[in-house]
Amino acid sequence: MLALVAVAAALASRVASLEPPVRVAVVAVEALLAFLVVADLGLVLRADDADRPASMVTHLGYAVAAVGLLPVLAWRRPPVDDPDAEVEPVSLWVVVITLVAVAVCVVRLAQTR
Amino acid sequence: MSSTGRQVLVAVYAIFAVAAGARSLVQLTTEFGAAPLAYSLSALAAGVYVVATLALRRTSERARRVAITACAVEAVGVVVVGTLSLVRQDWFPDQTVWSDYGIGYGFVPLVLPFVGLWWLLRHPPAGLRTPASTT
Repeated sequence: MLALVAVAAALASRVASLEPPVRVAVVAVEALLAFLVVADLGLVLRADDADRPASMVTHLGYAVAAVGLLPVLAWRRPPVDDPDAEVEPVSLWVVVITLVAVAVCVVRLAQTR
Repeated sequence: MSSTGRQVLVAVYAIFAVAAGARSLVQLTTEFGAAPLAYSLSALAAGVYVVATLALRRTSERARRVAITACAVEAVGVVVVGTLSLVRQDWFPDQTVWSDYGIGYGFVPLVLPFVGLWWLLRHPPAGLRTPASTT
């Protein structure tokens, strides 16, 4: 799903009519990621010591990154030195890059399980 | 295009700041004695990425100079550390972000500073633009 939305976002940078549904899909992806991370952490915390990740800190780091990258990087805000500037939507290419980074985090989350 | 380029650069640098920062934090706090040079270089790389991210977010000439300096330090770092990690492997018992020219991160650390420098030199702040560079 991450790859699908990333490809759609890349296409939407060329086809303007695709942009609104892509931005909705990004919100849906973030909600799904939050659900997956909460479910994963629930399973990890309930597991026996032998079944827990070898490095809990690393696993938690990937969990936080997987769910936190999109809100941090795709949150609209003005430049730091010009807070009154008109805020434009985050570039769809930023969304694409962030989705790729999130996909890496999800894979690493599964690998460190 | 200028804004899109800045946003993309900030996003990539922010991702690397988080990745290198988290990696160096864990390495320095849990296993520093195992590879002090490598882990110190990871921390240096994280610092450079943080500075570049913060500078790229700003639009002033001073911020641009800081960003150019950060990208230049990053370029030198990845080339020097990448070369040393190949010719003096005993100096690097563990990987850094810049080891083997950033192969662990798909060579993005090698390409990123040069893309950043190229973009920064092509897009001066509005007050410094010549008529030819505004088109």
